[in-house]
Amino acid sequence: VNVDPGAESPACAVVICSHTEERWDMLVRAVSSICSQTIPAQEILVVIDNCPPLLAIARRNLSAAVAAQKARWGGGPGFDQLIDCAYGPLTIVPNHERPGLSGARNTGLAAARAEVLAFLDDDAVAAPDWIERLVPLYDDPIVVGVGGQVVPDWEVVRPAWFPADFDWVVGSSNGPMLRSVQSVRTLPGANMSFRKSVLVDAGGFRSESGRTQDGPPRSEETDLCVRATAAVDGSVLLYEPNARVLHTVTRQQTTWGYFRSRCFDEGLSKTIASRANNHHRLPASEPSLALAIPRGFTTSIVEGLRGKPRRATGAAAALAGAAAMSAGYLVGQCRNLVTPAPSGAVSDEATRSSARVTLLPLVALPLALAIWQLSLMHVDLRHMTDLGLITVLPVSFWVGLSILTLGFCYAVSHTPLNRLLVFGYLLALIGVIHGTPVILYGTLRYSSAWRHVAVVDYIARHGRINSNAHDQLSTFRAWPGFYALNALLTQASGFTSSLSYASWGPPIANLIVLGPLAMIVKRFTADRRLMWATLWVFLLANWVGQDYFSPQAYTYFLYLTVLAICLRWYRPVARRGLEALDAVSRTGPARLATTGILVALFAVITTSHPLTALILVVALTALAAIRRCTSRVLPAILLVFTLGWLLIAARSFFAGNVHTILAFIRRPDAKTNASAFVSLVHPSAGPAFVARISRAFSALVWGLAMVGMLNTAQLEPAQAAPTDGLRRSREDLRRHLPLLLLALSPLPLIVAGNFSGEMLSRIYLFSLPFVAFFAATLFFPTPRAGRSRLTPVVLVAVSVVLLAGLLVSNYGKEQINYFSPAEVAASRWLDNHAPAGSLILAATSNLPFAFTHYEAYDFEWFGLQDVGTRRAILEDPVGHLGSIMAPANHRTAYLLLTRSQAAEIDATGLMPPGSLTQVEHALLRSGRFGVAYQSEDAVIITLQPTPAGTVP
Amino acid sequence: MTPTRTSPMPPSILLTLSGWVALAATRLPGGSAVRAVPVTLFLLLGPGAAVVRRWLGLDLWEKVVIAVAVSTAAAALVSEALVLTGSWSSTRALAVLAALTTATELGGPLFDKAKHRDRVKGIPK
Repeated sequence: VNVDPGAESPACAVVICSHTEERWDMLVRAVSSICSQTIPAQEILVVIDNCPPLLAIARRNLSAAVAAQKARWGGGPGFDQLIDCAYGPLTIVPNHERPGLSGARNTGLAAARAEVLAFLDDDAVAAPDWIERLVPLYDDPIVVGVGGQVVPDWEVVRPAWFPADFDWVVGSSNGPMLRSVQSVRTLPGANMSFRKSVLVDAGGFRSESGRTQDGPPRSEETDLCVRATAAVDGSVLLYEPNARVLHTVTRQQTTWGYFRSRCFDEGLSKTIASRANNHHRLPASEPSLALAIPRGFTTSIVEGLRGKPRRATGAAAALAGAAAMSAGYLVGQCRNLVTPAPSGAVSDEATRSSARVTLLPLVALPLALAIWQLSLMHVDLRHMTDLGLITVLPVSFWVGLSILTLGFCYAVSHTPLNRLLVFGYLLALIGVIHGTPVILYGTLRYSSAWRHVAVVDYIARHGRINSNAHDQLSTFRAWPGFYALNALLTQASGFTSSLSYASWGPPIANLIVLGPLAMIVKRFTADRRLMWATLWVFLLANWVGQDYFSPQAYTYFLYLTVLAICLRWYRPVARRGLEALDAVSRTGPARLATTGILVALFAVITTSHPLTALILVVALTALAAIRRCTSRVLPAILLVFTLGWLLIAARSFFAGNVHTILAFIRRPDAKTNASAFVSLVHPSAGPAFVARISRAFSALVWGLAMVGMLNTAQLEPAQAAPTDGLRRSREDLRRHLPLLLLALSPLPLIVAGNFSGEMLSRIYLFSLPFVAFFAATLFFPTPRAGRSRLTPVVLVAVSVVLLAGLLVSNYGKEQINYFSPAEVAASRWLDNHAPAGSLILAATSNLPFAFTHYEAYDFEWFGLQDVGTRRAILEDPVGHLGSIMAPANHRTAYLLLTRSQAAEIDATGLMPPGSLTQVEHALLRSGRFGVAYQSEDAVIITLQPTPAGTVP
Repeated sequence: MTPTRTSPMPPSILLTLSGWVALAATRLPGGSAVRAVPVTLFLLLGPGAAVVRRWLGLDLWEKVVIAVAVSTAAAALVSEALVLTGSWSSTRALAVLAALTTATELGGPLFDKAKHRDRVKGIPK
């Protein structure tokens, strides 16, 4: 349904419950106050609880008595202005439910037809603007309940000892503490209203914690507020202090005995409420009260010292009240341990046994981390083979990782789910997978990351983009967003270089992506297990290695954030009921602000990474096409931004050459990802194996997603009634359609780009969040499914397979991506010794780009020349390299050969294995070349031996 | 964005000043945590926090995500604009961001009022 929200405020029904004819006069005043509202109530429901005489009198006399009362008020005794207006139909009904206030309120709930239900006590009077203040707040769909201030109306003079912060004892809210509309956790029972649909969904009031005629009042309101907000994700309760209710305080309520027993009961009822909602921890006292007691106490002491003994007795009373509350809380806790919980709540037995079992994953997490840390102490990177990092990881690493996997799978399928613990497992997984290289290497991983550091540091140093036409890194010039951000961060924070933190790119990138991904998944499932499992699968399947210090890693986060915002705040909404939650009105400042934020995010994405912008255009267009995103302007704005930036800013860079632009979009950082899908022409056995595993792994993840999708569609009808099976399955398909489209939206890139492995890996990455969701539905297809003991076992089995695939694929190219400290030292030596204008020649660009003044040099990669040139170089290295390095071209020239270049040459088959060693030996044998610098992993050769470099 | 206050939320002193504190911290020598922590925190969270504070109905998770996205986007755009106009300096960029954050905080109550006017338009009298 696509209905414009904010058209008109919902109708309001007022429920007034009464249980004794002794309060007849009060009841008349209460009803009269509702009949004198500035905005009339649609219905007034007077529920008579278990008192036939009162029911008879009310049916006979209430209307007349209210009319008489209104006439008497005229000028208004309690309130300044009373506006006479038509009031809604007055209905008098007996309590059909269990005796007591909760039952009476539930009767009112069942009888009411209006969308909003306000509850007024029979001993209270509402201010004339009460409904006018309460109801507009419901225009915001996320609001499920609104309460107001309860002003005490003392029948007798307020006792001197009565502490100011204990007004809640007589039913008053801590009103003066909140002066503006605030989001609160509980509403005062004497002045509260709720959306009817939410009350129904939450199961209404619970008699067990409500007050009965004989017993003292208990906080059924607290209980209900917790259930109401828990029933709807992201919902809020508001406190509007200007919606006032005057609540009678009887003589009996001002006695010391009442005060003490009410405090005790308050403490006791907290334990009942927290037991019934044991997934939502409640504090031992009202949040405001926790502050109010010490504050009231200190004020009283100060006043007492000033010679105002009346205040001092207040302090004593406050202390006694707090003691009574604590006693009640303790008694309640003890009872919880002894007696079983009532129906509807998880039994104590189950709670205690669940506490025992949650201990296991709680212990497993630190254990896994400790073993992992210890395992890293015995790693020797020099023994790494062409299968990558996994070849040097000790057995203890795998033990730690296995404990981590077991612990997570157990914790996520356990009821109740411990959110913090499960989140801790995800953090630990990021730490182990992406933190291990950071800790082991001590140097920056990936040569592209080094390049990005160089660009960032250039901006930080010069305050501008390098405009040199021969700039080796000029491809980054037209998309400066990410680099400008990091230049600011580096220089303002006082780092000498972004190298200080760039190594942590992969862990940080994986961490921040979880945020928007969780927001997206929450839109499609209320099952938290499914949400956490999606994040887990995402982390396990994200092998692509596009998460290092780079524009694409940052814009990937923004890409998901934009989608999360659109899916939540730009969704079509029904006007009524729960579906109306969470909308942004079509006009107005709120919509403008949200759109403004999105436009800012668009601007950053457009100016940071063109490929991400294009995929986002497709994704948003797809969402708008199925009307899952109500704004059609958004994809249009983004498209205009992207094309505009390409044409205006990037035009000068490409000199208007459309083909160059397209080529650049296809391979924005050409060297980055040559390793993602290794070409199988001549590579050595190890990298070819890794490449095959990577492809099989990607196919497996997509396969899991497909099975998960089909499985859900099959399960849904089986669990529904047979007749609406088909409807349910269609509904399910419709519900997940946006995710399916988002998973498919990067596919058009195949048309725009080439079929190279790199483009496939990009498509895989942009689909992965949504593919991970469908794969996770394999374990938790419906909230009711996936509760058996088999689920964690299957989850463990699949996780182990995914982990194996991830570690082979992501760690498999580490001979290339790892730069030893010796290699970094060689680059630094060059940077310190090569004069400006020198040529730096290397086999490939795969080297630590630790050239602080990279703009001072020319670079050339002889291993990336065309096949003919490469062959010629291998046949006669002395002649060819000698002519490239000849003084005629550059005053000085350096040939830098490193271990990681050799690894890339071997892995890609650009040259036969061992070529670089042969070249090095041939050059040195010729006598025309000399070694300028040498270490275990690098050699720098010059045309003429220079005295500057000595062999370390 | 769905703020729902009828009476405006007062500006937060901490947020209003955060940018200026970060700016003052840049006077300290580089490499010290006393400088890096407030500056990094402000750049990653400051401007966005001023925005999400008036955005009711967000849980902590969503608040952090949107605050980081908005803050880094603002920092990137300001820094980029200064780079392209040839007037880049980290102090200048930080000052602009601090001013933006302060303006968002101080102008917030006006936004709340406008929001409320928009909301009550549809109430039947």
